[in-house]
Amino acid sequence: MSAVLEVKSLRKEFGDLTAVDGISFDIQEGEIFGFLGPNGAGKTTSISMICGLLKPTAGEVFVEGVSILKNPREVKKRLGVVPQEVAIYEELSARENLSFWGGIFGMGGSKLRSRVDELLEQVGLEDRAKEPTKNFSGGMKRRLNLALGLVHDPKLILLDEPTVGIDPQARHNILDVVKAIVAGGRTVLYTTHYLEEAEDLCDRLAIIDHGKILSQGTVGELKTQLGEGSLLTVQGDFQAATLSKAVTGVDGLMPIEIDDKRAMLLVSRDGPGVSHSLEGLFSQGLTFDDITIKEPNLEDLFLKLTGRELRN
Amino acid sequence: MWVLIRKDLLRRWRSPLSTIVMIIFPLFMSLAIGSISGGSDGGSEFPRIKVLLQNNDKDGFLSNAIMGSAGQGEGQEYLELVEVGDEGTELMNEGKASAMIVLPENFTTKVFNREPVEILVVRNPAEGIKPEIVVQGADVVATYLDQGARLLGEELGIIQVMMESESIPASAKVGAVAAGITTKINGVEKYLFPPLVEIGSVKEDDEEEGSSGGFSVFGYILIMTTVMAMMFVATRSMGDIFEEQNNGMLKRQLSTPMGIGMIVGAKTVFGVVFGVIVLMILGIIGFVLGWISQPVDLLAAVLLGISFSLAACGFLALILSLVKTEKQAGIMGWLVIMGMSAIGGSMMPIHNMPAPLQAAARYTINFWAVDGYTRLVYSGEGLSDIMGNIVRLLIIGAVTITVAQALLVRRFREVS
Repeated sequence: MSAVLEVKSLRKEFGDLTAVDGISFDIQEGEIFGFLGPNGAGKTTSISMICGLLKPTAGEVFVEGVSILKNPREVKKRLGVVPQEVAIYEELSARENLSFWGGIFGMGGSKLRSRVDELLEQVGLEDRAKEPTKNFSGGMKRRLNLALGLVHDPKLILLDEPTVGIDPQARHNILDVVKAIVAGGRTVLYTTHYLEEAEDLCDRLAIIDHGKILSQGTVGELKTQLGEGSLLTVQGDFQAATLSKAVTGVDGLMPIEIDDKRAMLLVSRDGPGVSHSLEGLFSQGLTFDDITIKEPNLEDLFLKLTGRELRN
Repeated sequence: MWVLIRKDLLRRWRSPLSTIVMIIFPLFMSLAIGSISGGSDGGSEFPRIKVLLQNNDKDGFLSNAIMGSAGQGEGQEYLELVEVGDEGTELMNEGKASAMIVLPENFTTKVFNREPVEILVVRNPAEGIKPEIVVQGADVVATYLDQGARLLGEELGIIQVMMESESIPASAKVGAVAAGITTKINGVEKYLFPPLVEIGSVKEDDEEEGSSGGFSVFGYILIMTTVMAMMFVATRSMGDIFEEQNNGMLKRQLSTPMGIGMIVGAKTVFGVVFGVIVLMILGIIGFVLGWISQPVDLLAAVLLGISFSLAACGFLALILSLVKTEKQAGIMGWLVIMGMSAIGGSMMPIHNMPAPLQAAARYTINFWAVDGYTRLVYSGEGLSDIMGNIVRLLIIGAVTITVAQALLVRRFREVS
């Protein structure tokens, strides 16, 4: 496999604000690469630089080895951008919207018509193809929004939170389309703040916050960064300092996040186990109102890396 | 670029409300203002004014003289005088005439005795200009009567006695009175009869020079307001860039190989095409309604439309490039259209404006368009005659679009 997208030390400053702070990653052909982070993390700014809408303060972007800074027109031909906002002409029908975007990329005639038919079927809008899109539901508009970015059959597709604000059924449909695109040999950069989507869809992920990539790898690789074991969440009337001191005295127990009245701890798989850990804490005079035990996920990793929850 | 223009034309076609409003606006304004101003009589240079005359001084010499002389000679061309009795008020209430002049009882006696007397003019409130002309005319008559009574008081007294006498006055006496009147009038003639109002008629001369004639107030106002409507079309077209910025379409287009220069250029071409379409629709409606009833040099009309639309798009693009938000663009665009229309002849005829404003009008793009179209339609002129107007507008368009394009490219280089 070869890298379709290479991002090197990309940085963007708006005055005193550093929106993207030297991120680097690459995406291989046929891969879905996820950008996971909360709102304001720098995902959209990164996408804007990758597709040439914003000029980076520093760093470089290459698509199939071509620099966006040196040859933006050539790079843009290879990109399909699906923006976060639904950007369609509501006066026009789905077919007219698709034909317009195909025309922008120089497509026409029977080739364009058959491509439009194919996409309408793929996103399930063939029955409403001639209707003005202002009559469409939010989910239908989202599906068309996705199709518009695919009409010229680009090599690399940039999807910026394509499932924001839609119902589960429409989301499922969009995720199916994305999987079909990749099955057809295309490459996808997918930004989201939905953990389940990232886990379900992406081959590899980068967790981004405050403009920095905090960690990247496959879902499995990322989870191992928390350590092997079970996640123990306790709530009660305790002080963070008291609990921290108590945890250090219990074998196989590691702190993930400890606050007053609430703490997340990792019980090592190689250690004595959950019961032993709890007994160790009780023996030091601690009591809890609520105890939860579960397997760690990306949300927990995000909490460990950033100190805050993904949806905040 | 054609893909972008076609898309915008299709959008206007699918959502035609704003276009319909832009077409209805000049038609409505022409109908409204034209009706108030009297519209057209189908060829005469100025429409006739219907005036009711209610004479309550039936036996009076002066009142009968006024009734007999009014509407004679040149006045007959402009005035349709109808003598009425008490039903005059009812007719006015029904809006059957532009005005009603009421001569009071003992009008003649009071004038001869130099007593205060009042001529009442009842105006039709539904009309604007015609009743005003009647009031002004009555004012002139009153002035003449007043000054005449003061000047010829002695002779009028003698005439009154003669007329009330049952015997025929002696020729010598009549001759003496006449001589006295002549002497007095000759002495003050240049003060009493200056050319207060001069109604110049150019109709016959124009016809000799090949005028297409057929003046219509409706047609004239249609030209004025169509030019203003084309400015609104230009604003709508160029302002679409802001709308596309807000709904994400601009960003999406800029993520394709297209540059902002291409997008601004396409909006300009679309504005010109759309402006000319609106112009042609209004022109055809004007012909169908008979407001423009003579042949016009179509090539010149279209070229003038293209050059004016280009100038309007350029001017408005320049304004849009200097403001920051869609709201500011809307306000500034509206102010510029209104200002240029008011000064440039899209709201009132240039020749009705004070001299300083007439001079200022030449610095507006409206002036050159209105001037060009009125010359094409009412003076029978052709392309070569209005080439100066077209060239001026093309230069304004080229300069403003070049500057605006540069500013907009800089503005939208980074749209996120």
